[in-house]
Amino acid sequence: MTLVYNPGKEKVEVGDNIVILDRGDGRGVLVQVIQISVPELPGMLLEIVRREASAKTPETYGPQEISDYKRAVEGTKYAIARIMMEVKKVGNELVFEKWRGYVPSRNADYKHISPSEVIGALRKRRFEVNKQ
Amino acid sequence: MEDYREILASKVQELLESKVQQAKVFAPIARLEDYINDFETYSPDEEELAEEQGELSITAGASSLRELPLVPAEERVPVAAVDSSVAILGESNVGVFAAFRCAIVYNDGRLPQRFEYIAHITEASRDAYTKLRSLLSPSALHKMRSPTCSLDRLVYRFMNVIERLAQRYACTQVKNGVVLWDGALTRTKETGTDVFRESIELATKHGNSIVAVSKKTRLRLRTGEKLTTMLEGKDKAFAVEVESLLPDNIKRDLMGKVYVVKFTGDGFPFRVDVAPKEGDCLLPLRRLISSVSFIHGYPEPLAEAHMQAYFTRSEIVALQAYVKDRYSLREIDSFDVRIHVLGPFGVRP
Repeated sequence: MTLVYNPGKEKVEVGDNIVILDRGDGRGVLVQVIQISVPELPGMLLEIVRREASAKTPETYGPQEISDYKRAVEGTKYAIARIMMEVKKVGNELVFEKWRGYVPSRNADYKHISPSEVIGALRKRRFEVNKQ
Repeated sequence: MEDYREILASKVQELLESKVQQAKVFAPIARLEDYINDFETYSPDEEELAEEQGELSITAGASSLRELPLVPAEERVPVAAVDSSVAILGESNVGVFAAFRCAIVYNDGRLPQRFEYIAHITEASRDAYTKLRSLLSPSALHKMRSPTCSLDRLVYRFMNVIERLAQRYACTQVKNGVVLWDGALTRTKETGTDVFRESIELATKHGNSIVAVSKKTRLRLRTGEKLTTMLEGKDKAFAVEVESLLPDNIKRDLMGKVYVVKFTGDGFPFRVDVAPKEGDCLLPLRRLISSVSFIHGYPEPLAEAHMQAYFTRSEIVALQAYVKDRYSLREIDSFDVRIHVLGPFGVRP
C-alpha cells in the first residue's frame, strides 16, 4: 500500500504502525511502513535542472502564497507499507481481525498506533485463535 | 512616461482580478501534457495569419540570395531578453483558470526577473482585457472594443498583452543595447501597428535596437523549399536579407527588416526581424554576436528567458492546489466528451 503525505504536516517513519480507516464504512487496515521515498513527480527533474542551471535566483513578482504550494508539492513523500491486519470500528473501539483482502477507499482517516497497541491486538487475536 | 515595472508588478494582477465572477467548482485539466506552455507554439493570431497568407514565398531562387557576413562587433553591449508562457490550469463552471508568466533576462549580471499571474478568465474578463490592452496604446482606447472571441482564446489574448508589456519594460531596462524578443515583428489583428510603433519608439528612446528571433517560420523559396532548411549546412555566420524579396501584401505588415540569420557557424538559421535604433540593421546583429553566447545558434539569454518563464508540470500541480484554496472551489473531474464517445481511440496514448 502506498501512502502519499506532506512531511511539513505529517510525520511518518519506517516501522510506524498506521490504521487507515475508510470514512464511509468504518472498516480499514492496519499497515506497517517499510520504506519511505520521494515520488517521481512529472516536471520535478526540470525544476531541479532549472534551479541548477540558473546562476542566480530570479526576482519574482506575483502572489507570494504560491511558493508555499510549490514547496508542498516538491516536498511530497510517499511511504510503502505492508498490510498487517484488518480493522473494524465498533463504537469507539478498534477491533483487529485477520486481513481478508479488504482495501479502504482513498476517502479515509489515518491514525498512528503505538507498538504496544499492535502487540496487544496480536496477542488478543492469537488467544482467540487458540481458543477456537 | 509609463512605469512598466509598476504595471507588471501590480497593475496587471489588479486588472486580472477586477470584476471576477465567483466560481463554485474547479475541474483541473486531466492530462497535464495537454496544456500549452510556450506562447509561440500556439498563437491564435499567428494561426489566423497563416490561414490567411499561407506560406511566405520569396520571389527568388537559392542562387540570388545574398549572404551578408556577420563579423562580431568590437564592443559588448547590454542585452535584455524577454519570453513568456501560459498554462491552462483547469475549468470552472463559468470560465477558465490560467497562469501567466513572463521573464526578462540580462547579460550584465543583473538578476533575471519573473512576473507571475493567476487569473480566472470569464465573460466579465473582456472588460479587463480592453483595459489591459489600453496600457499598450492609451491613445487608441476610444477605438477599442471588447474582444468577441471564445474564452479559450481570450486566455491567449491576455498572454499576448502581458508579453507585449514585458517587452516594453525590457526596452527601458538597458541603454544603447539590444532587446531580444521571441517571435516576429509582424503586425497582426491583435498586435497592431500602434503597439509595435510605440514599443520601437521606446526602445529607440533608450538607444536600443530590437531583435526578434523566431523559432518557427513560413518563409519558403519559390521552389517550395524552406529557407531556413536550405541555409542550414553553411558553416559561417551570416544574414540574408529577405524583406525586399517578399510580396507587397506581406511587406506592409512588417514592422522591422526581415532576415534569415545564422548567428554561429555551427548553429541553426532563424528568421530574425530587426528594428534598429539607427539605419544599419546588421550592426545590432553584430553587437549581439559580440555580447552574448549562443546555444545551437540561438541567443542564450532568450533560451534562459524561456527556461525561466516555463511552467513545469509540478508547478502546475501546485498552482491547481493554490487556485482551489484561493477561490474556495469544490474540485470535480474534468469532462471530455471525446473519451466517452470515442473510447480508447479518443485519447492520445
